[in-house]
Amino acid sequence: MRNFLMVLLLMPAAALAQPAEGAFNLTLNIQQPLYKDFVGKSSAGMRVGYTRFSSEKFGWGIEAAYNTLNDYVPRQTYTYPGGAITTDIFNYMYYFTLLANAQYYFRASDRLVPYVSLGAGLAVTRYTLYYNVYEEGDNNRSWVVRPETGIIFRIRPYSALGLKSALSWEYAGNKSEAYDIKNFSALAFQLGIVVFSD
Amino acid sequence: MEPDLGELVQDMVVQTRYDQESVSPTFNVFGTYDKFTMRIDTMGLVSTRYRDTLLVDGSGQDFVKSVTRRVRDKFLEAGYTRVTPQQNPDFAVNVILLDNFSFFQAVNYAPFYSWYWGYYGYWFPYVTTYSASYGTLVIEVVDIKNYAANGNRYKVIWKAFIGDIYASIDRNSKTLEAVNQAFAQSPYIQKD
Repeated sequence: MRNFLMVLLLMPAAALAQPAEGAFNLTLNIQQPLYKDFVGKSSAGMRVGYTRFSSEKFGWGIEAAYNTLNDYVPRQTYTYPGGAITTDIFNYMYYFTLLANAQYYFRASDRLVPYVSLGAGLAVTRYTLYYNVYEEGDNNRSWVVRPETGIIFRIRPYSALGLKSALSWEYAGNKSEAYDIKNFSALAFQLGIVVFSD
Repeated sequence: MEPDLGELVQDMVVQTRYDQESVSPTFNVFGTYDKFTMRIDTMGLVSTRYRDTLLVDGSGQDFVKSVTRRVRDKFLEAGYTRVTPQQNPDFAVNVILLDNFSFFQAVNYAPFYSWYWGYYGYWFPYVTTYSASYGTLVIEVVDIKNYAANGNRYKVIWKAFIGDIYASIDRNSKTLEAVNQAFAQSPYIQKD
């Protein structure tokens, strides 16, 4: 009987002692810019990634994210030497990132795994101004860094399916001199699924 | 993902440019003018599709007439007197529709005319980007008074670009609003 109880008590630990080899994740990415330079409204985009677990504590991976951020500037007159222009403007920021990241996992239980992550990589940004039927823009490639903290939750022990929720901050060196826009920074909240490849 | 076209074309874009030698903090040529000349009820047409150089209203239409008269009225409100070309005007006003040209900010003009009256001396605009089915209304002020001082050339000292004419849901009223705006953002157009 005592041996049986020991087996039951050790089962979760045994489960954790056999981490998945890797995991795909697909999340909704709700991004809130931390500046009002060009876009200020929150935006819902997508993020997809793959993590390779090198141990129970560490993992590394890649992830790609895409968000379209936009904002509306009401009609006003802009004056400049030699003239003026009156229009309303729809500012759009098409923002794609591709990052490599490293993760550290904390164990809360066999199914709940908080983690912290640090990613760095490439940001591809297209700033576009739409006014009436006209549009103009500026393309930009830059670096981006993204620290993140989150929780991975396995539906059941050994389940291939899990949920992920995370909060991240990111900073990209994608300032636009053409439009006098500063580097972009934002908070992002993610919620999505994780598929473990055991 | 782009903004909705219906929201985009609620109001027209109005851009004005002035010659900085003619209008400066210390000098305003518009203050020296008294008389102007312009055609009403007809409009110049510069098109990549049509050979016509004049635009008039068709049956039941009121675009050309209402726009040119509004432009005339704005110059009258600014204190100027409309005269015929033979009555020695100080400046001429041209109203032109650019048809089927691309983004109006990319349209460049020769800054001088060889002929001020009408559109015959109009120098075909040089467009730096691809052609597209846009319609842009252009209003120009041509300096006649200083013809000699400008090297025996008619200098274009003010231009207003209004667009897009074609995409507007309420073309006539929105164009008239845009004409008003062109003058509102050009307070230097005023007789002393």
